[in-house]
Amino acid sequence: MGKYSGAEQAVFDVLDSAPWKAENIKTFPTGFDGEMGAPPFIRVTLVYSGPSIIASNASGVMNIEIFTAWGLGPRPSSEIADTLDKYFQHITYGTTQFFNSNLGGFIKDRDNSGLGRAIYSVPFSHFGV
Amino acid sequence: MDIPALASKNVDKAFKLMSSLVKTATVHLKENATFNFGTAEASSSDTPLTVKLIVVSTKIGKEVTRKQILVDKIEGLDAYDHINFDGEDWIITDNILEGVASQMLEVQHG
Repeated sequence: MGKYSGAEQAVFDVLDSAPWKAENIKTFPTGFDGEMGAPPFIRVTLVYSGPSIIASNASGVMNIEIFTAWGLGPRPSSEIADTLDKYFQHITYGTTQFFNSNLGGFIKDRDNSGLGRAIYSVPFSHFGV
Repeated sequence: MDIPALASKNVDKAFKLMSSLVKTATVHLKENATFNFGTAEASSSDTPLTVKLIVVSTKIGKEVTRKQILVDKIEGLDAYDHINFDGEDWIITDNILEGVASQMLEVQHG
């Protein structure tokens, strides 16, 4: 598996795990086309940040959009971000390392005014072979 | 007076009167979409339905062709579904106008 698929699968393996599924947070990747249902739900994207000195390594930021119902305030999305920290902040899975997280401001989603959106981001480094 | 039934009857009548313009198409209703993170694959169920439609307008762009089509009302239709006619597959965009007994859809191909 190449470095991009490898980094992506490291994230997907966490989202496919029994502990994550037990959190009961609907999770989708970017590029998924289908009903996501009522909020809350999250959407996961990996953004790569330039070439590494070592060709087999890849690093960047994992951005997770957190969608919650607009009108309830920001607390539901903060709680989801805290849950994501348990799985990603300062944790290493095999050859993929995650660092400190950040939570972007909670705003009304521009595509669906019934949703609020916050972006949870965490830098990562994937060491390929 | 059952207005929906009356409207439906008149839509059928309209399709009969415009028979030379009517096309037969297959709508694929996509439901139960899920994503398996273990295999990195998306899956969904596909329910095909045969429908009749009339192409109301066509807009040909550089990369995409869009058509407005008039169909009988299809229960459960949404922008995740697609429709096949004239040998091509068309995506249903999020522009769906619902009437009592018919729908005007915008579809896209390209």
